[in-house]
Parts: sequence; C-alpha cells; structure tokens
Amino acid sequence: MISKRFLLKRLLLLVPVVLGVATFVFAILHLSPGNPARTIAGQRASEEFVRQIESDLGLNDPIYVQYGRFLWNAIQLDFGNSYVIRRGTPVTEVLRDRFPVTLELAIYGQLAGIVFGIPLGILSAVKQDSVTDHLTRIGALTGISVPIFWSGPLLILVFATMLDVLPTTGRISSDYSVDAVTGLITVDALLSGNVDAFLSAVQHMLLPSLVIGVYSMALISRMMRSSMLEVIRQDYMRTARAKGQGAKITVMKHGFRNALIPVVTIIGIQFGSLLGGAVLTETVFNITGIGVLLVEAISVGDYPVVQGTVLLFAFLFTLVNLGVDVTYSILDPRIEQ
Amino acid sequence: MDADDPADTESPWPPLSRLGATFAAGAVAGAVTFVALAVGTDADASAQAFSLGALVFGAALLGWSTAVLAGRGLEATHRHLETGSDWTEAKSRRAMVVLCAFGLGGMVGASIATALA
Amino acid sequence: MSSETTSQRTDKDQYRRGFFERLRQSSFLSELLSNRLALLGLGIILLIVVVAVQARLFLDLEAIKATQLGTNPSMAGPCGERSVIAAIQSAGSCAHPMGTDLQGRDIFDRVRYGAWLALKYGTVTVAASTALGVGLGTIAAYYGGWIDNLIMRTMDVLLAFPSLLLALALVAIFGAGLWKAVIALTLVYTPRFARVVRGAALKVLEDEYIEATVSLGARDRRVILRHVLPNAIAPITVQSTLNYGLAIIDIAALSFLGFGASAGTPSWGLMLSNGVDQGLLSGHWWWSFFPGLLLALTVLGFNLLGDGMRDALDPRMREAVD
Repeated sequence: MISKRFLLKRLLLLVPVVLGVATFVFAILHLSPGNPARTIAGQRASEEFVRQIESDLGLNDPIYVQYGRFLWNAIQLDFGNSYVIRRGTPVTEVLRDRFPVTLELAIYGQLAGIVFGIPLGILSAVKQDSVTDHLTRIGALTGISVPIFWSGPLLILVFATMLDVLPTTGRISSDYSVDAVTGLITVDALLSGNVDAFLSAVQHMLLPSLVIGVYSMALISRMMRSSMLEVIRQDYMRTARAKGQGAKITVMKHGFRNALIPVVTIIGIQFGSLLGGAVLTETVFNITGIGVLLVEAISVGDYPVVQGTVLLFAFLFTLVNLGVDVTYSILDPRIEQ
Repeated sequence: MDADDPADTESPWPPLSRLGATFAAGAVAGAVTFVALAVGTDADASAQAFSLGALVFGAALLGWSTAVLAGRGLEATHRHLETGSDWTEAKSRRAMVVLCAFGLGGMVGASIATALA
Repeated sequence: MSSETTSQRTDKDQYRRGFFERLRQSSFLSELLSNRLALLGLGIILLIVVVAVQARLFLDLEAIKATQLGTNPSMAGPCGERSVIAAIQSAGSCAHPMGTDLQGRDIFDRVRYGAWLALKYGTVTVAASTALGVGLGTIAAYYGGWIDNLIMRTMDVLLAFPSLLLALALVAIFGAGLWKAVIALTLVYTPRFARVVRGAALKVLEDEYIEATVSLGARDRRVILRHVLPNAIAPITVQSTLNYGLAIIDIAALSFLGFGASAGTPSWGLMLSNGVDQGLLSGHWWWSFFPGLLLALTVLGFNLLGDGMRDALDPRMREAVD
C-alpha cells in the first residue's frame, strides 16, 4: 500500500517540476523574438519609457543573474505581474480565478472518459469480432479522428441551436449569481442550495466535458479491449472456463481486475493530452479557464502568465499521476511503494 | 545494444564520471555557441546561448520528473502497445540526468565565455 | 497508403526484390486487403486526394482569398437557406452548395482548396519527421553505445510532453505561421519515428545474416540501405499513416488557436475558427460545419487505414484474432 513516505517523496517532486517549468519558460522568453519591456510598454511607447521598464525588470543584468532571480522567485511561487493581459496584476491572482474552471472541466472530462470508456472496452472484448465490437471500435476510431473544435460546434449546433435543450456557451445561466467558494461552479451552486442554479451549471458542463472526454474515452476503451483480450487468452482463464462457470462471471471475476491495471496506468499518461484538449475545448465553448489564458498569453507574449499556466498544468498532471499510483497499488497489492 | 552492464542498468543514477564528461561537453558547446552567435549577430549572444542551455536543462528536468511520476505507467504502456520497446524508468531517468548535466554545462559555459569576452 | 501500389510498380526491381518477395510472402498485404475498414479508409483518402489535386489545378488561390463583399453581400447559407433541413434538401443544386462566408466567399471552393493545403502541409510534416526519425533511429540502432543513448534519451524528453502543448511551446519560440507550425510539429513527431525505426532496425541487426555481412566487410551505408531500411519500411509506413491524421488535426488546431494560417487563407482550421467565433451563435452554421466535416473525414480515413495496417503488422494482435 501507499506509505506516507512515498506520498511525501512524490509531493517533493513538485520542486524539480517548478524549477523545470521556470527554466523552460525562461529559455522561451529569451529565445523568442521581441522585447518584454516593449511588450509591457506597448508598441507606441517612447524609447525612454521602454529603457525605464528594462532597468526596472533587470533586463540589463547579466543573463545568469536574471536566471537566478527568476528561479528564486519561482521557487517562492512568485511569478511576477502580468505583462499585458491584466497589466500589473500579480499572476497568482489572475490564475486564482481561472484555475478552478479548468480543473472542473478536466475532472468531468476525465470522468466521462473513464465511465464510458471502460464498459465499452469490456463489451468490445467479450463480444470480440461481433457487430458490437466492430461498432465500438469504429466509434472509438471516429472519436479520435474528430477534432474537438469540430465536435464541439457540432454539439452546440444540434443541442443548443436546433433542439434548444442545452445552453451554448459559458458556465452558468446569467439568471443566477453564485458566490465563488471553491471556484468549481457546480460545487458552488450546490453549496448555495439553489437547485435551479445547480441544474443550470450541470447543463453548461455537459457538452464541454463530453467533448473533452471523447478522446480519452476512445483511448481507454481501446486499451481496455486489448488488455481484456490478453487476459482472456491466458491459461488460468481457460482453466476457469473449462471448470464450467458461466463465461460472463469468469470474465468479471478473474479478468477485470487484472485487465484494469494497464488501463489505469494509461489514464495518468493520457491526462496530458486531455489538458491539451482543454485548451481547445475552452476556446470553443468560451469558457475562461487557464487553457484560453495560455493561448492568449503566448500570442501576446505575456510570459509571467505563460509560466503560471504551464506550472498549473504540470501540477494537475502530477496530482493525477499520484492518484493513478494509489489506484494501482489498490488493484495490485503486490506492488510495494 | 546498450553498453551498460546489468548492475548499472538497475540504478536510476548515472556514474559521476559520465556526468562530469557531459557537463564539460555542454560547457564547451555553450561557449562555442556564444562565440558563434557573438560573431554572427551583435547584442544578445550571451542571453541566447545561455537560454539554449536552459532549454535543454529545463526540458530534461521536466522529463526526469515525468519519468519518476509516470514511469510505471509508461513502462506498462510501452510493453503493451509497442512490442520491442525497451523503455524503462531507470534508463530514462539516468538519461535525463545526463541531459540535465549537458544543459547546465551549456549555461555555465555560456556564462563563463560571456565573462571572459 | 502507397505501400501496395509501390510494391506492384517496383516488383521487377532486382535491387529490392528480396524485400518485396518477403512482403508478399508475409500475410501483411493480404490481411490488409481483407480488412474492409482499412479499404474504406484508403477510399476516403483517395477521394480527398482527388478533390485536393482538382482544387489545386482549377482554383485560383488569390481569388479564393479575395473578399467578395461587392458581388455577394448576403452571406447566404447553402442555396440561400438558413434552416438546416431546407439546406440539405436543396444541397448541390445551386451556385454555392456550401454557402458563403462573412466575406461572401464560396465555402465549397475554400473547403476544396483547404484539402490541398491540409494534404500539402500534412505531407511535409510527416515526410520531414519520418526522414529525421529514420535518420536518428537508424544511427542510434546501428552505432549503439553513447550515440544511441544521446539520441534516444533526447527523444524520450520530447515524448514526455503532450503533443499540442509542446507544439504551443515551440510556436511561442518560433512565432506564428503555417510553415512555423510545420517545423514545430515536425520536432514534436520525430521521436515517435525514431523510436519505431530504432526498434525495427535493432531486430534486423540482431539477425545473424547482418553479422555475417558485417564480418565480410560490408560498409555501413550498404548494410543500412540494403538490410536495415527495407525491413523497417512496414512499421515506418504504419507510423506515418497514423501520424498523418494527427498532423492534419494538429496543424488545423494551431490554425484554430491563431498560431497557423494567416487571415484569408482557406485552411480548415482557420475557417473553423472564424466559423465558431462569428457564425455559431448567429446561426451561420455552415461556416464551421463543412470545413470540420472535411477535416474529420480526412483524419478518419488515415486512422482507419493506419489502424488496419497496424493490425496486419502486429503479430500479437493477429494471434488475438485467430
């Protein structure tokens, strides 16, 4: 099982992650064309003003001094102030409002992927080479092929414009105002005790989490299928079947737990792509999370914000993989942490 | 194909001598990049050369963290999806540490070259 | 997609005969050809290729980019209809079968030219990362030791990042533009090819006959060209096909996020971006629907074919089917 020492070691990993992200962003900042001081000042600012900002930011210091200062600030989780997007506001403050939005989207998307992907994969494996199997596999392949920025608009078109059963964009209907406690809109709406507001929030989450979860669902169901097939073909499964138990019970009892192990591990890895998908999903559904923030920050050259968002993505990735480790040790108790 | 002996393969840390050699190689590469950039262009040669080293160092550091974090998952996935891949957590971590040394070397080399110039 | 056609064309080529004889004897081709889904994928790809080439030959890019506001200011849907059903009923029977966009440009023309652009930039991306990956993978496998370590572990670092996020990071360094997006994605995909090629090459090199050739004093280049590469072609082709779909999606995604095609270019990603931004809530559904349809169809074609190829290739999967 997971020991406290193991958990502590994993959380300590956040230190190299912070250093790595900071170094990476520092390198990008200095390799990309354009002068940060000019970005802050704006294109029409005078030369003296730009010089002034340059010396304020310490851009004239030797590069290793700048790097040292950058790292020192990053390790204290001080990313400086936003250059452009919310000029002068500390990045941590900008991120505080935006992060829960993406967190919520990622959680629901990942849940959708798991909840649909695993049963579909099992179904496909148990009914190998049947019509169901083929349909599921084609469905999974289509899920991977359809880009988020088309399936999203398509769903909006069908459910919002044509059928008018779901809202189009945003996170909650403007009729309700919910106090931000956790920042997760569905949780906040629930906490406020207003059932209608909660339903509205859930309706708004439905399409985005479905869209973001499709890719993960496709991947998980494919992995589940092949993993399940492998387990079914193993000797002890044949023996169990020969003993005369019903095929379905055999599969559930012996196969599922073992087949789940590689599937669980792939969830941790594909979570990175899910975060990439969050960037696109937020753009399509006009959800103001850190995904759209990252895109905006890159396109205007707001590097403090870039650093903050990338770090949060890395943080999420770390947490999910920690969760995967815990699940893994429950599924396979032989593993010593 | 890997030149390492079996006992070495288990350790996620590379031998110090190799780290030192890579660090030195990185330092030389960083200095050379600085000189090349300084001859070719004018202003930012120091920052550019240093940043290239930082890019390698930062990426390798993140890669190392990923290997530690998701190492077992990656190993399982590789075993499962691509037959014949020999990706292991220990090998990957060792390589990332070596790359970190190279990147750090580049940063130090570029800094020293800047100071001397 | 080209493996079987090339095999027929160069069948009599003495130099490569050994490889194609082996390919024919293996069950790869027959299995692939018996896979209906793979054939469907191939059909889709051929269709898109025909559309793309036809558009490239007969459409004028400058005319497609130019705004048509003076001549057709109505921004009509297909056949001037605004409701989906009415439009489907009368589709194909009018001047603008897919409607016109905000600037009054014909979407049918733009989407077809977009097919050419998608295939063009997709091909360059896949070809470049294949070439880089083959080079690096072969060198790593052939020379081994620290060269192998240096190359493959660098590839490992790149493989550790999600492809779209890494591409965004590279775009932040390079700046926006279609060609820059191609360069960024080439760097993102190269590790996949290097890994596949190295794996395939190692298997070949382990075979005794290579050792015999080497001991007879064959030169490096000859061994790589005549033994290693021909045997690695099948896995490379599978990887390229699967990656083709991914490349087309990712290029479109970068354009969609504003880091790819410049304004006016009939790239699917950019058309989708404009359609979602300006047309989705105002009822102009055809602005985003048709470019996305073509994009999804193309990618599906490559994924169907690539998946069929992988099943035909992977002995473990074949065993599972038996």
